[in-house]
Amino acid sequence: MEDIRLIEMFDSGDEKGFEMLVKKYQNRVINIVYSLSGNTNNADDIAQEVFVKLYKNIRFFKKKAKFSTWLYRITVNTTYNYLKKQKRYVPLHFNPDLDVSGKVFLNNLDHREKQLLLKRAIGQLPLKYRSVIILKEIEELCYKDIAKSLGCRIGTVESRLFRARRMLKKMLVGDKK
Amino acid sequence: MNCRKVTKMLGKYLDKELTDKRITGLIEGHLKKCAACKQELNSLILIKKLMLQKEGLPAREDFWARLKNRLKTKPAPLTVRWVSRSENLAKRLIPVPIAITILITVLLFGKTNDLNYINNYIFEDLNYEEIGMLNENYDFTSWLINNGL
Repeated sequence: MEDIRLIEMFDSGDEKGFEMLVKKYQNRVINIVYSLSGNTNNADDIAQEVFVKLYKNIRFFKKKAKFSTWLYRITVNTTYNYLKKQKRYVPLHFNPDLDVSGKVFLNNLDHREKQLLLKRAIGQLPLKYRSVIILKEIEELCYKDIAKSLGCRIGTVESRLFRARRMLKKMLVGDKK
Repeated sequence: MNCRKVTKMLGKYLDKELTDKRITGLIEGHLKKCAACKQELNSLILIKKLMLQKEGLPAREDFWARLKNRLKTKPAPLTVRWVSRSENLAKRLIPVPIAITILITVLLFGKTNDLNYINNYIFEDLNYEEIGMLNENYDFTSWLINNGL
């Protein structure tokens, strides 16, 4: 069912509408939170907080807008606030043996090592670049939706994405150019 | 198109966000000739593939049940929501009358002080004869002759 129908259901007092919205988006929200925070333990708590905020503020949703981008905006802001409170942007539980120096040959790594390397590389990006690259490469949003989700201009998305990719390239592939 | 420009636009090209077909054609033409830019594109593709392989974190099975417990309060009826919205608007508008009051106070005080200052400035150094000049019956010509003007 379309998001707008579910919101209308909830608006008319049917809680089932909200339940269906949560079940539709819970995995995506958790994934964004997890990718931004790099922490499996807190991702669930933050995602719960996101949906509590959604429940309290869904009446302010302008139905002309896209619901998913609005939800992503709440998700990113809630995670930002959480990380600011924690003052810990980079996850600390990485394998120190996997050095993100650009000298690692990705083909020689197994799946688990690649995941660790990638997670560490993403964790080393500044938060503003991290959020853009996650929304683009993992959630596969277009630039316009990323801009709406982050509350910035499309030009800003382009430049942040360019820098984020350059940093990741330097860390994962090596900067030959 | 040179390598610098192409490199800057490779991301947009890869994301299919380039709207101008002419630019897309120029990039593709450049990529056929330039090995360095082609390699740059391959690196971006590799990162993209790697990011897509990133493992997600599935929601716990009891996610909704736990959330439901947290959401004890039911959604407010429409009338209450309208009142709540008005309250929010009122909260946002509170600074406006405060700012206007402060502005009016500052202007009034400022103006009053200015008048006092002007009055003091004009009259404090004048002798009675000079004050008399302000009287409309005062013979201004005589005063000029008496003062050698």
